[in-house]
Amino acid sequence: MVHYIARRLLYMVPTLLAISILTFLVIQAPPGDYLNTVVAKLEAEGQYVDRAQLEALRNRYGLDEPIWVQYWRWITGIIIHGDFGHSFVYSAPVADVLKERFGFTVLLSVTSMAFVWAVAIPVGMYSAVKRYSPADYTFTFIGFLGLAVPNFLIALVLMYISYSYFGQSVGALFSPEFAESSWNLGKILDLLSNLWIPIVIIGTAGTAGMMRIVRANLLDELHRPYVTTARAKGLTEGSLLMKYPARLAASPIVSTIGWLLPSLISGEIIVSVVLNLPTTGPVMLRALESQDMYLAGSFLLLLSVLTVVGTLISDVLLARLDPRIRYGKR
Amino acid sequence: MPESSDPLLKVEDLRTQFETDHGTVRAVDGVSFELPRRKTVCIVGESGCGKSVTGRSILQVVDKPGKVTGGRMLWHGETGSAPVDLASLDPKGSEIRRIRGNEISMVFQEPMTSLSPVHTIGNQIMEAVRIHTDLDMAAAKERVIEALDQVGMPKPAERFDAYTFQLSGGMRQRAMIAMALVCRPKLLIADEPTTALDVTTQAQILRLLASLQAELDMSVLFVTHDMGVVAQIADEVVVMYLGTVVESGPVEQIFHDPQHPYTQALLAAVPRIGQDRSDRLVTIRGTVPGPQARPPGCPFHPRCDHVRPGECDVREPRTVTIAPRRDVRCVLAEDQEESHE
Repeated sequence: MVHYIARRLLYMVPTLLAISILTFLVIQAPPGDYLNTVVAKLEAEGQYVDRAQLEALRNRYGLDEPIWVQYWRWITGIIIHGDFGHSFVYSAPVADVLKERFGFTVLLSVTSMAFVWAVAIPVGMYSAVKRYSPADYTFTFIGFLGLAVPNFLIALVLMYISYSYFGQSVGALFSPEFAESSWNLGKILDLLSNLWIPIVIIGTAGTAGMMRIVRANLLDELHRPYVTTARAKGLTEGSLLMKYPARLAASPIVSTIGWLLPSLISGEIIVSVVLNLPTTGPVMLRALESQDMYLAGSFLLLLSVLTVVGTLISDVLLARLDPRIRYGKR
Repeated sequence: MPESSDPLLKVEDLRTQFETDHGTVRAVDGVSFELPRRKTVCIVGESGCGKSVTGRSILQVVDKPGKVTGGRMLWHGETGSAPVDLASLDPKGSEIRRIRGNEISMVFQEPMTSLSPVHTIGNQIMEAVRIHTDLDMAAAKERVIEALDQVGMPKPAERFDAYTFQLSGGMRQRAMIAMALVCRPKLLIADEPTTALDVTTQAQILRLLASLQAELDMSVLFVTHDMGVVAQIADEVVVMYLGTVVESGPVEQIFHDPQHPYTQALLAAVPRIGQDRSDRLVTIRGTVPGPQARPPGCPFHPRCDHVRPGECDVREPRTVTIAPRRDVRCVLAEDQEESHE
């Protein structure tokens, strides 16, 4: 197992290197260098451009140096100092822009993920075991509805309902009276009362999809010969289900856990924009729209790295779950 | 014979049906036979004759949507006490679960798919011990290792932690047999346990089963399509065709004096050593009809060489007992019976 993980970690190094180089090239892709963009923006706003400050920036990013030196400065800046560059849209370091929104994004993603799993797995399993029962048909119907209706539409409908019938302000995670206050019990309760809407919205589509996957995976396994063997041993149907088919059906689901990691920060962009949530999703959208290359590039880098790390986590979990992978031939 | 008065299991008019979208499939359609104590009974027949479903019906582990819908299966597990009708038990209930893997256990055809690929064999065998006994972990593990040793698994203590993909086909089947025998059942149902194995391994497994049967004092119900295997291990034979028993009796009589045209055709189809190689292999003409196209009357009549139009294709023949423990279900046997009277 240790050997397996070590080998996988080693494989990650060239992948990460390639990702960083590609990201850097993307940042460099727009015509002109970064400072030209900054100067153009400042002049468009009629601001005075300080030549000395410009020189300082030029030095900092090594813009007069060859491109590999620029790459080296950029990547060492990230690794050693956590310096992702400067966002001109927000006029702040990229790291600060992200940090500000990171907590809420992770909170929202993790809770909606927990919601999805807590609902989808039991319902999917029930649907598989009681296939073609009225309950199965009902869940299937709701599931397809959840898959088919776009999230932002659910968001708009829920906002309308909760505002016009409950007088609750949705959009943003805090009610207006708490938005600027410091943390206290009231603010936390307010957060919780507002959080359920985005969780339900983001969760519906995920739940619907996950439910179908759990159902299909389990149906594949339920009639395998090893299930009959276990039944012939005298095991109860319940413990039988949990020990054998459920464990084998879990593999395809576990293999997608890794994809959840990047979604932690990409978030649900459209839902976040509609609900005006302080997550990183809208920031990424804005960075792309306005060609804020250091910010956009940082997102690209983070998403890619999280994908690689997520895949590693998935693979390690899969190896734990399935000895055939653990002892697999190289 | 004392066995006939006190059989271990008495199956009477067993019916197992599959409700499908295309109608009801009568996989087992009125099967009766007896399983004497400490004997090996073979159920033989072609693919689709219902022999496996019969075996599985006894423990009520027929795959969905199959269900035991009629008949009785009287289980005399404990001598002296009243027999239990296995057919009347709830397939998910605790009574049948107490019998499964404990008094009656099963060995399946393909050990690779019939064992879980992600659990060690030790784990899977120990499960049976933990369900049916009060042994603690250590004692249960010891019992499992003992069982592995008994079925001829080399280095049983090490193999306890082996996964199925780390074992050869023969070793896997040994593990499967150890799992079935670890609780000392009175009846072992073996559903084509050697079909997926090569001939050498097959012979080893058959010898193993025979010696374990003597050692553990149990009965064996052996489901197979292989007449060679039948000749090697059976005490009694039940020949099935399309969900019905066409003939049953002691093995010597079935082989040397087959009464039913189907049994005769089946035996004639067995290739023999020394047979002229220019001869074509003997086959039974026609094919087994699909489950939806079950012919009226005697199910075998479209393929039978002795068919009597107007009789065989109209009514089902009676089962005639032509000698003690010797039944034939054919109009020919009915004739003989009448001429005797």
